[in-house]
Amino acid sequence: MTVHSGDVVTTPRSDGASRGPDGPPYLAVRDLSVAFPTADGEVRAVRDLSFSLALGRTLAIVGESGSGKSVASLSIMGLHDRGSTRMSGSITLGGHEIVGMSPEELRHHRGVAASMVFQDPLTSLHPYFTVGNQIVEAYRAHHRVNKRQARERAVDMLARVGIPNPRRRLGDYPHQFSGGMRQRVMIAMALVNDPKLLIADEPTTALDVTVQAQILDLIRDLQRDFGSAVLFITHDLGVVAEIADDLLVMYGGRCMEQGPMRTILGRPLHPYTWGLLLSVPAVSGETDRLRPIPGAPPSLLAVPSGCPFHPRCAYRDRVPYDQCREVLPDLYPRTADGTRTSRCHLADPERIFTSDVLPRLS
Amino acid sequence: MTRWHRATAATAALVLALAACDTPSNQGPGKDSGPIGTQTIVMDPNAKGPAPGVPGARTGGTITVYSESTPNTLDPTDIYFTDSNEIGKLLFRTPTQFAMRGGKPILVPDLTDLGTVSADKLTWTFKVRTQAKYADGTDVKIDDLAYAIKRSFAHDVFANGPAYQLTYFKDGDKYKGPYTGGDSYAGVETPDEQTLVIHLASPFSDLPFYLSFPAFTPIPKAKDTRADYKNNPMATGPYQFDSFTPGTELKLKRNPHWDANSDPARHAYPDAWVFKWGQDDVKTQQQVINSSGPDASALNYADIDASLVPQLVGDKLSQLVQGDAPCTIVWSIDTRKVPLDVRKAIAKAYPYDAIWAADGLNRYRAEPASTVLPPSVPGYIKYPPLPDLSGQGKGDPAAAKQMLEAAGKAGFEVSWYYDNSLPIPQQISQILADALKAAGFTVKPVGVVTAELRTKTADYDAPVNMGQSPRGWCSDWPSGGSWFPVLFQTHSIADGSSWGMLQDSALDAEIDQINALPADQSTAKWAELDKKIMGMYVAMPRYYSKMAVVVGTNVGGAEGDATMGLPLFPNLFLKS
Amino acid sequence: MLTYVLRRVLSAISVILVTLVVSFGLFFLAPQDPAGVICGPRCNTQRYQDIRASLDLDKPVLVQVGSYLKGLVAGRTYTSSGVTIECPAPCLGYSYTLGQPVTKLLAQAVPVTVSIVLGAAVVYVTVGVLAGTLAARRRGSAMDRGAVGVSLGLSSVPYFVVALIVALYATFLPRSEYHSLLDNPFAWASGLLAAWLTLGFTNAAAYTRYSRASMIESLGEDFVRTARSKGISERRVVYRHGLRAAITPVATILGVDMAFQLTGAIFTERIFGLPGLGVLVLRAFGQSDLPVLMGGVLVGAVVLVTLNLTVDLLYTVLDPRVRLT
Repeated sequence: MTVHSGDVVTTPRSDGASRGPDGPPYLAVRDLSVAFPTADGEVRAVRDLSFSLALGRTLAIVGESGSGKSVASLSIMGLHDRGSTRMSGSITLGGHEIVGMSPEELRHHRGVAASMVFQDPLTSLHPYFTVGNQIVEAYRAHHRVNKRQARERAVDMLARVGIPNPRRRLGDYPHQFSGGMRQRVMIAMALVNDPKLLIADEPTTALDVTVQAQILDLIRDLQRDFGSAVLFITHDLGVVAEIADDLLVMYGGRCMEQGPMRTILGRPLHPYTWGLLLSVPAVSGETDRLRPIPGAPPSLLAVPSGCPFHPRCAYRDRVPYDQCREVLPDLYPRTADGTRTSRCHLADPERIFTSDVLPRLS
Repeated sequence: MTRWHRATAATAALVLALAACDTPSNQGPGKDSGPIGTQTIVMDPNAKGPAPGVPGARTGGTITVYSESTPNTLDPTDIYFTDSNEIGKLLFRTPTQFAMRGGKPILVPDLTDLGTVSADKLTWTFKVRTQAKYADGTDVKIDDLAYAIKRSFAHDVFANGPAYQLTYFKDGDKYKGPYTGGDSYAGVETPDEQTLVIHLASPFSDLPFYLSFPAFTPIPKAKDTRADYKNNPMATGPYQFDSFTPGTELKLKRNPHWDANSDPARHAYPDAWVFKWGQDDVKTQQQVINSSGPDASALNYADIDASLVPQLVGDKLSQLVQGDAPCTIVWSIDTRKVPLDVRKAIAKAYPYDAIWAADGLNRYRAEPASTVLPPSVPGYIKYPPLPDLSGQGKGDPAAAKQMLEAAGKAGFEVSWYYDNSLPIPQQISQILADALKAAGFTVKPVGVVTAELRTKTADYDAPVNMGQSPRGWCSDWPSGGSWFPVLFQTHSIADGSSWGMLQDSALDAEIDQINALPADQSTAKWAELDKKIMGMYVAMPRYYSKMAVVVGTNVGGAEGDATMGLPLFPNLFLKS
Repeated sequence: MLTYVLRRVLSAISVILVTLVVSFGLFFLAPQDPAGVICGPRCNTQRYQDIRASLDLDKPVLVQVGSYLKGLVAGRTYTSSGVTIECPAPCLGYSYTLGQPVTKLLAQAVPVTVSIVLGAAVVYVTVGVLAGTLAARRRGSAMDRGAVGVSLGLSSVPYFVVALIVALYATFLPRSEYHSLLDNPFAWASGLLAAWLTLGFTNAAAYTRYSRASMIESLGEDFVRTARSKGISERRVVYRHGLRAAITPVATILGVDMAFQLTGAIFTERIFGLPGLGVLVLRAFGQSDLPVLMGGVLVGAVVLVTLNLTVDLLYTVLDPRVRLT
């Protein structure tokens, strides 16, 4: 990290024990529901979602498209249009309640309390302004500095995210960068105000695999240096394995399974998660057909009754009295300390996993 | 003099193409000026400046003059149309000029006296009466007057200007003007600074009237910029060019060297004039009627459009200025191709009233005609109209058909050109075609676009036998001498100004004879000749035009110039 | 970037050259005999022959085109009956009906039309974009619906009716006439005000709709979401990020629209009494004044091509992605 005398200097918050749970969570989401009234009815994108995230930790939210994961992340940033969104529940960010916050206050929080990196940096960066211009703008929105100082900060950030020749590249336009470099720029812009929470919404989906790895490394490094919390939205389990401390699986707007990443991926306790793991093609081994989860994700206009996954679940008949169709399962704790939950009526999911799923995974 | 630009402009209300139909029984709310008063020639050889003041006049202000039709030139030698002629009265002093006294035009001396003629009628002598100056302060010399006359012979260059001098002046057929023919010309002599002598080839008793034309305003040879002269001609009148945007705008300012005391014909009340051309007449007339802001000091010199007449009630009626125009509009027949009996049948069938209505005429602008000379020209006598030549009537196709058959000419082919790109001429042509067809004629009207019409109707060798130009005539000066010799002699065909293509040498001689008489004797003879020629059925007389223009509420002194059929510009003033 | 500009300029020149040749074809394809028209109704044979000779009408077409092009570059002289008329370069011909070189007539008329069109463009782009942006921001609100409704209504009234009403009855506006910008900028502006406002507001309707649509699309773009997520003010998001991107399609439309504005100027010039290219060409058409018509067509093409070229170049300023192509 380069430090220039007289500049605004930020000290990285290295907490040391950044991987352990620390005090009250920075982000706490409780029973969040987000719905959009449309002409065809109400789209219930997120239902009763709850999770928390502490500084220094990374939570990955996984799900197919239409699972509500992006909507949830946008809610944390307060980016939904107030007029056409119905939000209930609570989102606390650093102690401040986001749901129902005034637009002016929200503005203060965006970029400082939490900031977001989007999926496609080519469309997410303004094509008509230089990257320097955009980063400076982000910085000057929250700090009263002159242009020169802001530019220095921008150079700083670009260097930090690993862009060579940062001073010269300040004057370049987004289309003049390669995909990976562009995403780095986006990350630099997101971090310029030292936000405590970084939300990354599928940041590597549009990139190729090698670049993907670099970006993930970068995010990890930055998190270590700044001690921020990272909320990582993805559908890619490989990425989850790389980067997440905790994992939350969403389906049909609801949380299906939640807990430490290693335990969930090592020993998943929900049919949907089993399906996800099974559908990942093996790089080595037989070139078999792909094994997708049969069926398609539900329309959020008409979520199935009971368990939203039941139409596609292979183990429905193992639950008596057709409960899967009638009754929405609660998030049952699966460990003694309650750090792992899964929303399923199955009495003994672990056994089913070991006998049925695990053999097919190897 | 021809007024084609007016005839076609009257049909071109481009933006609000609403032609109100106006039958003779549908008068406007006000009274029209009634039948036209007869003019008698008056000359006042002893008139002196300054011209008698106009009652209520005051000096100052800028008058704006709107008109849709644009004068094509203000080079005095090339001026012939009435609008440029009237503007010329503000700029150019001439040997003689017309003054208005009691609403009547009177010929008065301007730069010279009214002239004396020799016993053999071939030599005229004019004495200069006043030392005039140009706008740049230099003196007018006698050579300048002579040079202007010589310049008028360059008819190839100044093709639009009047051509009488080519016929009447000595060597008029040989001398081609100073650019190709040099300066020595036998028809003009300047023995001293005060005397101008003109030699004629044949007697021309109206010469003093003719010298009122702008073509005879003095032009110094050294300042003759030829093709460029029109952009800033030398001014001897009360005003001079201030700025000129050809085709669009002309601004005039005072000529400080014009001497009012020596000018019996003109006043210079306004400080400046602005002419704005090319704007739609109906729109500018409406502006003048509304008279709001600067438009109160404006006028439009086209005849008021029929659609605006209903607005002239109450106070607004005083904004209408009416007057005489020395014009007769006719529909002529080619006597070389159509025998007399057929011509009479055509006249019998001719639907005067229907065509009047289709043309949007009303009693403000026109009066049905029955003679060659309009009433405002001395020589006009209101004789009983000849059969079917009264300018009115529905036409009687059945009777015409009988006449045609009796003459053994059933199915006789008649043809004419009409403008097929404008609604009114199309309608008129249709009405005529229907009437003549019902009368047993074979009709072959030929439609052409506006731009071609003039050329086609001027071509006397074209394969039509009716409706050739000129479709009317206006006096160049108030005398039969500017009508009959121009329109009805054999040379009229070659000149392109013939009504009926008469080629009668006996008639030619008769006209020459009358033309040689002095004015007081010729007037009565023109009257007789008028009836004789109408009896030849060379043309259907349609109407005499009248002037009906609107002026803004702040414009005073407006009256008609009967020699032009326009408001007399040199008398106008602004009330405040 | 330089090659882009050069390419566009070369393409513009080629369009003008083609127009030149085509407009020259007018002279031959017109159903009149040009010499006869110029000679006028009281034409005698000698003058007619003179005119034919001075216009090279008896020479082959290529020679005539050559003389015309030469006249454009080096000037030309016309002779008729011993009088020589100089026509300095660029000589676009001589109008016999008005007795003036065509270049002089055009030089008087073109600044008027350009003043009208550009001034009006300023009004309708400004009003249209502002109204469209406000409507887009408050999409679906009464204001939005009102704006769309008014603009549709205004577009339905024929332009010349609106113009005529303004010309005759809006007498509180300064009198409509043309003063040269160089002489007196204030008089220039006040004399054109009525025309600018009329043209401006009637065309603003269309630009309101374009801008509104473009803004709605632009405000839905990802980069606007990013801008909001940075925590900058909403006004800055809408105008700096949203509007800036929305302007580009509007600029394209403006370029194409200019062609229609030029032709539509005829109505404005005639109704408001402004002596521009439109009425000049109209008069020439009515009087078969072919040299003026040809000159008018050529100048119209040049003005149009120049305007389009300017918009194209403006594009490179507006959209940085274009510069490299």
